[in-house]
Amino acid sequence: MASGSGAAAAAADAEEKESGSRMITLTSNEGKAFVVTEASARQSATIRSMVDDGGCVDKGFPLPNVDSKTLARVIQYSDEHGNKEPHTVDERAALAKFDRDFIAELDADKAFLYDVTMAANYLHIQGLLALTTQCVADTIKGKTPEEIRTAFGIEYDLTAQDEKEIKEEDTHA
Amino acid sequence: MPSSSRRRRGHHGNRRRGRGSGSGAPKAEAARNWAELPAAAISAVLGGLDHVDILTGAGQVCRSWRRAARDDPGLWPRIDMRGHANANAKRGVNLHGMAQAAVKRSAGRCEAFWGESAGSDRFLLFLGRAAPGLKSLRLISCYDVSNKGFGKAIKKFPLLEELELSLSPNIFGNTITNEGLEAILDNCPHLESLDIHHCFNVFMDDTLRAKCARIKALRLPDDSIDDYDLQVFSPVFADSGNSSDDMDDGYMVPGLHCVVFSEENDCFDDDINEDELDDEARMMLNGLRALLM
Repeated sequence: MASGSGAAAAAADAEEKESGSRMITLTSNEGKAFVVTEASARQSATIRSMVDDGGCVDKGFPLPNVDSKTLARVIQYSDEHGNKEPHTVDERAALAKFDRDFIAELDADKAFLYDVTMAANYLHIQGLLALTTQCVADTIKGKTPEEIRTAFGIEYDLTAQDEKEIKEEDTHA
Repeated sequence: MPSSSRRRRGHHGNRRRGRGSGSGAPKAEAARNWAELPAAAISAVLGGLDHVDILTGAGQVCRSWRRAARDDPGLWPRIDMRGHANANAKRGVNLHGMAQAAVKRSAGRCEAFWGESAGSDRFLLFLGRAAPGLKSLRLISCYDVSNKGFGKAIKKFPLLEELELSLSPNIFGNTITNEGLEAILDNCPHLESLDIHHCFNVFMDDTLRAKCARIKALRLPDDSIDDYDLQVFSPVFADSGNSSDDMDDGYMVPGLHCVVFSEENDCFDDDINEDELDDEARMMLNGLRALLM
C-alpha cells in the first residue's frame, strides 16, 4: 500500500490487512455504484492496471460502457473467481458448476450474452470472455451460415468478391 | 457407421441447449449487432470452433466474421479436420476443398495437418508447396492417396517429425512397400514418430531396421499388438480413473495419443460414460472415435 494520507487510507490499510483486499467502487453508465473487493475487481485487467498504476481507487471507477444489469452479472462472475481461490477438488468442481450455471442462463438470453461479452472484452476479464465466446462457439457448431445468421440476428453483408472467394474455396460438394 | 459418430452428434446436440427457449430473445437481439463484436471477441469465438466449422459456417456468415476467419493465420497453424468424415453426407461438405482452403489460410505457417477422409494425391502435392514447414502429418482413412502420390509428396516435407498413415488402404495395408518406407526415411531426417501399422507389404530387413533405428516412436507392420498396452483401450479404461498409470508402463508416444491399429475395435464399447473419464481419457476416447469412424 502506498503511503496513504489520513484516516481513510489508514482504515483502508487496516481493512486490507484484515480481509486481504480493499474495497473498490465501480459505477455503471446509469450512475449506479457497486462496491466490490479489490480481489474481485482485479479479475478485470483494465481495472487491475489502473489500480496498480496508482489510479483513483478511492474515487472509484466509472464504467461508461457498461449498464447496471450487465455490471451486476459481471461482478457476480468476478466475485466468484476473485474472492475465492479453489484449492480442493470439491472447490474446483463448485467453481466449474458455477461457470456452467452462469453460462446456461446467458445462453438462454442471447442479448444479455452479447452485453456480457462486450463488457468482458471492454474490462479484459479473460476467463469471462473465454466463457461467453465458447458459448457462442457452441451455438455455432454444426450450423450453416444461414442458421448462424438466424440464431444471432446477423445481416448478410458479404460482397460479390467474398462470394466469389467462397465459391473458389469450394467447401461444399 | 457406427455408434461413435451418432454419439458425437448427440453430444453436440446437447450442448446446443437453450436455443429457442427465450421467445423474447430475437426481438432484443435486433439491438445487438453480433457482426460488430470487437475483433478480440470474434477471434475468441473462432478459436472455440474446429476448422471445418470455421470454413463452412462462421467464416461465411458476414463480412467481419469472414475477415476475422480469413486473415488471422494464428487460427491455422495446426489444421485438424478429423471427426468430420460424415460431414460430406450430412452437410454437403467438400472436405478436399476445405483442406485446401485451410492450408491456404495458414499462409505458409502450417505445422500440422491431421486429416480424415480429406487427403488425395493432388492435395498432398499442394500441401508440400503450401506448407514446407510441416512437422506433423496424419492421414486417416484417406482413400484417395496412392502409394505413388505419397512417395512424391513425402519429399516436400523435410521437417516432418510425426507421420501417421492409418486406415488409408491405398497407401496402407496394400501397396506401401519397402521403397515407400525408404522414401519416408530418406526424406524426413527429423522424423521421430512413425506409424505404419497394417502396411503388410513392408518386409523389414536389416537395411530398413537400421534406417528406422533413429525413430523414437515406431510402429511396424508386424509388431505385435500385445505390445501396445491394449488395456488402455479396453473396457477397463472406461471405468478406471487410473488410465494414465496404465499408460506409463506401456507404449505411448508423447503427442501421439490416439493410435489404434488392432481389429479389436469392439473392445471399445459404446457404454462408456464420458462424464467419468478424466481429460486425458476423454481426449483419447475422442481420438479413438475419430479413428474408428
